[in-house]
Amino acid sequence: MSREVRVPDMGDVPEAEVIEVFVRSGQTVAADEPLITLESDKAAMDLPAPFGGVVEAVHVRVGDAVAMDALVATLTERPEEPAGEPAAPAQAEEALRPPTVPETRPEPVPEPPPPPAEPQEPVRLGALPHAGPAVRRFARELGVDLMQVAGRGRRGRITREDVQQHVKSILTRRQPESGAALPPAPPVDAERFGPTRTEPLTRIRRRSGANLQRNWRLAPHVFQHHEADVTELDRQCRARRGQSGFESLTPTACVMQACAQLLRTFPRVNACLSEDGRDLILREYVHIGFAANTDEGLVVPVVCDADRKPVAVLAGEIAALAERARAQQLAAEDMQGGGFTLSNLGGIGGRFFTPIINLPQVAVLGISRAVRRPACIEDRIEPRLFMPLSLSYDHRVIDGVEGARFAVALAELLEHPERLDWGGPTDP
Amino acid sequence: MKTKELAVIGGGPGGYSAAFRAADMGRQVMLIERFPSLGGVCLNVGCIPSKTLLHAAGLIEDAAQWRERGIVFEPPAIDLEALRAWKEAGVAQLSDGLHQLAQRRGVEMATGRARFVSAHTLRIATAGGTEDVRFEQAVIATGSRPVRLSLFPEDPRILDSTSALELQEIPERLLVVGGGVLGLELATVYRALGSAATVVEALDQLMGGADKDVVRVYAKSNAGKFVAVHVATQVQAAEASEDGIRVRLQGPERAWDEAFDAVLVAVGRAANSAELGLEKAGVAVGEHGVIPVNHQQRTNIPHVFAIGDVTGGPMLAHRAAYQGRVAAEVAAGARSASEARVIPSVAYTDPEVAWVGLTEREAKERKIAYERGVFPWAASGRAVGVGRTDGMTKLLFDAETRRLIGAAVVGVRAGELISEAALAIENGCEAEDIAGTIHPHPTFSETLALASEAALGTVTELFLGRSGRRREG
Repeated sequence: MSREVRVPDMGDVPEAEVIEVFVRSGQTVAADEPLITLESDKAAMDLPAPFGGVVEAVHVRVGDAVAMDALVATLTERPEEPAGEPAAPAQAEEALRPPTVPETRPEPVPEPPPPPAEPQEPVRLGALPHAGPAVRRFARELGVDLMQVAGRGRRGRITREDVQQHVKSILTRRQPESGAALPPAPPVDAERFGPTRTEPLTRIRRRSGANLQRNWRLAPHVFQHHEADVTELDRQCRARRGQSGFESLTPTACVMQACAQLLRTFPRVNACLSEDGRDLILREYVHIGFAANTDEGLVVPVVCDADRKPVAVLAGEIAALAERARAQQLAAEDMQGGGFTLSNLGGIGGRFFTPIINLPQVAVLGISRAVRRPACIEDRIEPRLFMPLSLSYDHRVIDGVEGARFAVALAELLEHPERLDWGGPTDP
Repeated sequence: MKTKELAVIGGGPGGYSAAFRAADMGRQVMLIERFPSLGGVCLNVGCIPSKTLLHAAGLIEDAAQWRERGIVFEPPAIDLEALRAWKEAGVAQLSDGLHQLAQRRGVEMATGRARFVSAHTLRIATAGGTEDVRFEQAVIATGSRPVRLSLFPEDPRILDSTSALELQEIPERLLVVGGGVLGLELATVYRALGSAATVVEALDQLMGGADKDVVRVYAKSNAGKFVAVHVATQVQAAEASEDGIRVRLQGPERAWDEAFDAVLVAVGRAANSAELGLEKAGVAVGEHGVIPVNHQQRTNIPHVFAIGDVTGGPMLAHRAAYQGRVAAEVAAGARSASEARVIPSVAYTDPEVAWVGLTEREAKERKIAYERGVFPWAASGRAVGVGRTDGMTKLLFDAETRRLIGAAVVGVRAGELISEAALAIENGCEAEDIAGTIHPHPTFSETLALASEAALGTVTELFLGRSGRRREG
């Protein structure tokens, strides 16, 4: 059934101009879809279709001046739609509203797009993070992705405080310890109790301090102490000292030879953890570092392939490296690649200490000064020389049994110096 | 060879912003400009002088408009020389100010054309010879120039935006080729100064970037003020003769010949990148001479930045200045980036047309559901009072997040009003935020609040009918 759509009463506006026609004959329109736009002196308004259907004819053109009751279009109602839909008369009445009525007007005819001035990024303005330029800049400086930040402002607006909170929560989460964050360090108030001096830390000390702090916190340390009877080792060393090839023989060289042999049988002690902590990486070489004291602080030069070098060669290399360390002539390569570390405080004295593991290594051996004391040898009491040994190991990689076995095996080897590869002239 | 931490090529709004910001951040800066005065196209032959002339045009048209309202002036006598001098004095004042700002910051100025001779060396051809400068970083801010159409003959009566602003004479019959922002602004000036102006535009709409309903308000207000406005019309040929320029025009329905005393060609601008020796520095150039950059304004060569028109459109001074500051900050090691979400556009026509963010057409193309709030200026007390009801304020809100995503204002001072919408978009404001901010009455700016209320269905200055009103609180 055909029905006519006419211009409604426009209030005090006698006549309006047709400025846009959205439909043509044959076109299907939905109820409320605009048919034309009328513009009076006061404003523009759309004339919507009172019901859905097919446009039979359009009776106006752009530029026509029309008054109330002018015929605009003829529509055929869609048969499947219930006739006399309750909304239809209401809509028709609503078209009587006075002018100056802005309303969403879909434009059914797509216009040709203008030449693109700039490639449009496919972002939805309204869906971007809800934050103003100042907060966006602040987030950029901190490297924060605002999409990840929960805004606590009205309707999720992100404030500066929200960004700060976000960063704080991430920093706290990254602590390896599961416990609560540490309380702040106590204030440094030494000068309140007497005169003080301030000396800057050396570059080496500042750097190694930070590394030690890290290693101490990252690796769960276990300390295994033991003693080796080095009476015989000491005797052989004394006998060799002065022989050609043994000019720089030290206990460190002997212990390094022993450790080099053992690292072949205890490969885990010469291993390291992969960065993700899922794998054990086993070294098929034996490079051993040793701590050397210098005026600037502690350095750890490395002797390569220690398992293939006799004591005589190790002693020479250790002496040369230690000399270059004191002269501050070590190159970075001289201090890289170690799989195990020795720290010998025997020159000073004291018994046992707990060295910190040099990550990514998993163990370090501390050597203290050997002392002569009475010992029970079967039924006799004899003066014997004992060397205190302190093995620190990373419990993530080495368990207690293995740590103890390594310490015991090391002592045994040192107690049987004939099993060491001495090199140079043979038995004294 | 002289060495500088930062060399900025081009002293327009982008270039001097970059140079000044970099100097303020402690960099040693050299600013190279081919003309003796700073400010670039914008200050010398663009935005600033054109606004001076548009203001003069507005004065003339206002005076005429008030004749029927009881204020009768004599028809204006136009002293072109005095007007030109006033315009040039303004330009000189601003340019001198820039030179002082450069001097106080210790920015070294060089007048000449710069070319790259390597990735770290520029050769500057000055009046006194050539000089090589070694730089650590460089900012290319060489801007753009008017596009020339080869179909027009070489003739002093063929004008571009630069020569048109020189105001040599007022032609009787002027053809403006290009119905974009620039063409319509200059057409407005010449029309007010006495030219009979005709506008042709190849697209089917004036001001291609703006929404149709917005342009319609402008077009209606200007009906009868131009000799003719032909959209979807192209210039096919042009011939210079003694009595004028004969032009062949091809419209959608007919083709015809017409003669004009002058033709102003305003069909767009092209990036100035050809004569920079960019290949010597390894800087990549894209289509139409545009230099591609990332959001830090870096070219493919990380220590060479590019900003403003030479990086493409929209070719606007405020975009260049923003990018210039970003480039300077990034060059100085700050974590900065171009992250403004929207760049407003303004046509300083009469009435002005301004828009920012998405248009309705773009929202539809990108299938973004939106809600629309429109306030016609016929219902604005201020607009009625000054007799300028030829205006409309339109706001578009994202239907899902409810935030403002686009705005358009047409009407007197629309260019001033659009900033509030830009601020609202950058800050993610909703209709309630704008409507809930008390705007002074009576002002043009309150139409933004009223358009927001129209979107919310709470406006009382309009009657929205039964469906549009919101009954709950």
